[in-house]
Amino acid sequence: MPDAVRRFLRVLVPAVAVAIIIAGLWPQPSVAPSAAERVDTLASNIRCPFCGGESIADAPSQIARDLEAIIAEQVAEGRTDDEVYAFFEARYGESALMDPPLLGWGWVLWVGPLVLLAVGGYAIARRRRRTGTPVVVGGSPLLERRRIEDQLAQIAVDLGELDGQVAAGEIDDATRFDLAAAYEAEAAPLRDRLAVLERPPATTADPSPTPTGPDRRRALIGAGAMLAGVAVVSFAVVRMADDGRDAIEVPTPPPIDFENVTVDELENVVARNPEIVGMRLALAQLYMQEGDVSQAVVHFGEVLERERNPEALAWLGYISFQVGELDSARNYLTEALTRQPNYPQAEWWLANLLYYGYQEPAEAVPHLETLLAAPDLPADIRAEAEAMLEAAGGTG
Amino acid sequence: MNESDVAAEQAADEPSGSTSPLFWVAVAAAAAVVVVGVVFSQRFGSDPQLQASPLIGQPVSSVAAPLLEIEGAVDLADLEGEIVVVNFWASWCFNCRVEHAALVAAAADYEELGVTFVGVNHQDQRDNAIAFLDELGRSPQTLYVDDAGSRLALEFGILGLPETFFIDRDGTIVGKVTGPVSYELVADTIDAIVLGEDVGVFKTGEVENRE
Repeated sequence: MPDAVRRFLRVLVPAVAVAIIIAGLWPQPSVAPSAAERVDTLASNIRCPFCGGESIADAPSQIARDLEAIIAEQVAEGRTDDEVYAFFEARYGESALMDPPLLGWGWVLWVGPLVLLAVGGYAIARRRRRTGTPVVVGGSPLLERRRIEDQLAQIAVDLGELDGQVAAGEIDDATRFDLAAAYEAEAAPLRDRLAVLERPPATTADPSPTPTGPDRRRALIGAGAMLAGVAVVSFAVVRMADDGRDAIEVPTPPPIDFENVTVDELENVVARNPEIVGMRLALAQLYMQEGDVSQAVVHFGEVLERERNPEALAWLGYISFQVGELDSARNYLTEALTRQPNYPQAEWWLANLLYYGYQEPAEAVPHLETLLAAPDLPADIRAEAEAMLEAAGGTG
Repeated sequence: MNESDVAAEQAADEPSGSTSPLFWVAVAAAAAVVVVGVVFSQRFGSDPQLQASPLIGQPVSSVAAPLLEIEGAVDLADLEGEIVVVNFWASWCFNCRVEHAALVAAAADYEELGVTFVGVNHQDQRDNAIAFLDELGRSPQTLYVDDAGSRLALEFGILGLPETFFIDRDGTIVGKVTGPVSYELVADTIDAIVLGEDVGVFKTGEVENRE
């Protein structure tokens, strides 16, 4: 094969290869896809959340068919592809898509190999340019030697044939010398190249038994750079993993401690849930504990507007009694006991109201007796009630 | 540029050297392998079921779901003003059996507080679903609906059964439990919503998928 053709092919083959790759990657002229094609594409690009990582299009399960139907419906409604992707992403997050976008530190994984490839290619090209040492990618020095040896042999044969061609009268002497010179010119660089290839790999001209001086420093710097590189990339990876994990919070359920809840907290709850009587009662009692009777009265009153709650009635009776409104106190406590007979708190307050407020110990007696019949009465109340009953002249 | 960098430049310009660029290419390749290994190990360690649902904090969508056993339909968006507990279940789901009694009890106890329970029967045969309720008991306070076309499952981004979501009185999805719930978990979560506290995402077990 003549050298010119060889040189031509050496350029042509890689050029064709690159052209094919570019043609393959070139964006296709967009022909508007049909609705069915769009559904197929969308279903192939969206993960079926139930199906172990398969796309909706690939998964065989019924839910995948359901989801496909929903995609078809949205396409029919005129949603764009991006809108459909966004719909699934809003519900399943980034992992809804088969090819998640480059987010956070994920790009390191995509760009890293390309950078490494570029660095490696540069290193090879530089070494080849500078030293002329054979660096053969996709071949070997041995093959190159064989090829050069074959070419030299061919040239020798061609040279040998020149005599025969002159004898046969095919060419004249002048042409023969020109051709011989041309063959020699072709052979000379090949011989040089062969000499380089046949040189033993360990260069005797430059004996450097141990890396010292710049070489050694270079090795150290290189090792340091490598460690730094690994550290940076590892950091990126860990950060990326963290990015994903930030969202994964597993909080323990907040314990609800009604004992320690503050008035403000409970006020918020009651303001948001005005109809929930239990919350409001708790708030009113909290105000009572804190000595804020006027606020307590407001909330007990709010409770009564919603329902005639015995607890609220009893408390309002107690408060009325404390402020000297004996009649209204009696009305509240009596109503509380009507709605919840034997309600110990109301019985006790009513007994106190009758005994101390109205100064009618005899009327307190039945309430004290009912109260003392309650099995789970606190000991201090029981003691006080028994004392009051004795003083009132009832049976102890 | 410090001294060692200068030395590196000089060294790099020398044609002969004991460390060839190919060595560094090999080192870079090894580093890449390490990185890929680390990435995979990190990814394998994480649990995709525990991703915070992107729906937390979002308003519930309007989807009408037909009632399972009687005529009519329920749209969760119409339940605004109530706290809503949405439980996805199916007769083929083992953990749905485990949690069923807790949901029935909680639905009864929290009715007065204005809490509505919705049981979404997902990817199931209607007969099997009704047999499940016949066997384990149906909650009179719970709205049992059919997840027709898996629409609710998609709206809630569920990954398997059982999953349970909590919606506050404003119609905002505030909590999610992956896996079976206990009575305590449901009760504590509702109490937290009533008190206006954050709820968040819990995982109590694996979810199941139908083949």
